[in-house]
Amino acid sequence: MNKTRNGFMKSLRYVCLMGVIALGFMTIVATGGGGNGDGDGDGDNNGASPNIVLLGSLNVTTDYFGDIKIFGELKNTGNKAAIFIEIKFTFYDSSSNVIGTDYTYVDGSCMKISTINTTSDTALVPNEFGAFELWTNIDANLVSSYTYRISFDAYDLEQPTANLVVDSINIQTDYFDDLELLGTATNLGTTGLIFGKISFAIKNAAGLIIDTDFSYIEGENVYLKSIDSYTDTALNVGSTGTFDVSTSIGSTEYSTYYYKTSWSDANISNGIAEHISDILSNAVIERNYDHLNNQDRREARKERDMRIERIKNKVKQLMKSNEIKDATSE
Amino acid sequence: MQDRLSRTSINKKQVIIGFIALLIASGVYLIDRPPDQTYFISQSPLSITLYDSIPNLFGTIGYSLPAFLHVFSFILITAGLIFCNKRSYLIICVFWFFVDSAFELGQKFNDVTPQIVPDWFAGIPFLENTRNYFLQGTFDVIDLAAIAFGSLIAYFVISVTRERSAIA
Repeated sequence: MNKTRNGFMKSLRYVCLMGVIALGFMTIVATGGGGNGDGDGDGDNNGASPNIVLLGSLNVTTDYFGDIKIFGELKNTGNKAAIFIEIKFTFYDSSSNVIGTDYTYVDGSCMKISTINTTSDTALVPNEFGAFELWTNIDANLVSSYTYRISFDAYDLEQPTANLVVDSINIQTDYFDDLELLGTATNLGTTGLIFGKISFAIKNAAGLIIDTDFSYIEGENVYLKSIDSYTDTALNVGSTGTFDVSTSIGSTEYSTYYYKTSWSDANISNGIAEHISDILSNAVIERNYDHLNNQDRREARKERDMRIERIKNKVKQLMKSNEIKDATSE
Repeated sequence: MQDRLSRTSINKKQVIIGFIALLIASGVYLIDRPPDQTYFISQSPLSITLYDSIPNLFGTIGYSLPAFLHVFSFILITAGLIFCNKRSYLIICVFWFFVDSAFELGQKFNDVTPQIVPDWFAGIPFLENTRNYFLQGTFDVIDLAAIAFGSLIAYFVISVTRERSAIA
């Protein structure tokens, strides 16, 4: 009897021991950087929250100036969508001195922040992943190590009313034997859209992101009242446009790709478009960077990041003033 | 008979000391660290952080205290579960010293360590943060010293508490 009891206790202790070792490992990683949002988005998430993690390995490379450039993918492993997903890198030299920081936003899904009717293409819904491409002006030879921090906002999000869906993609090579992706896309939503855009993430055989490229849809030319300007990136409900994305990737270098579409909802009538989400008026400047060469791509990325930063801050202000209004009305 | 019973019993004193140390370490994260910088706080469905409620409690010692307490507490808990001789205690101390040191060093060589982390960790609670741990964490030689010191102190504590629990 005693022998059986002792044997059971011994086995139980081994199980406990394995559990303690597992707990030891988990408590180490659980106290590490959270890689999570700043919590400004919603204070009441009813237990649901996004969790953005790095997916696979980073592709750390250099640009034509010898500056460090990083490609990677982020995934939302949480149970709520996140928006304004940003990854910020800190670079160190061999003496562990900080020699620079830089950030970029993920090429994500186009989602609308419910309460203030604003869309952004920096969102990832649960289990979705998206790519990023960080250009820096930090000499790669000086970089010894780096750390990163992921942040995001967790507002309540919903699908925009327009819906840009890709119909077909035709893969070609250009004069330089670089990959070129052409195709058509249709607005299958219930309102019109402007600044229709398609972004590609291209991977090599090892599964690393080796390029991200985008192009705006060649659509209808409309007058945009809010900024007194024209754009040919509009698609009314049911309309179809074309796109042509040139890359700097050799046709033999790539293995797979995926894409995301984005836009701003708009009411289009008689060649006149009215933003449904006025906050995105700044997006028009991005149009100037369509069909880019390499140097412009760097500038375009930086411009996109700064534009998103402005929108993110504006949204934050709006949400805060809405909270104040709500509190006052209560 | 006495020896057999001792071998199958748990050294409660060591286990309790270990868990108290672990609780204090958790307090550092709950009170002194912003919630978004710690995975288990930011992922908690309930708001468990006391960061904005209580003034900074641990001061500068709070930077390396968790490194000290983690290795200390897990040596105590492991030793408490395996009632054994001093040589085995030494093995336990060395084991946890190497585990904690390896994770700390992983933050220094973070150009390599994230590549070792399997992709299937993504989506699994706690494990999903492993890559973030290496890339977002900052290597600190003082943490390494704290781990070494924690291992030594733990060895001393388990040696002292060993005899008493054998009698009990």
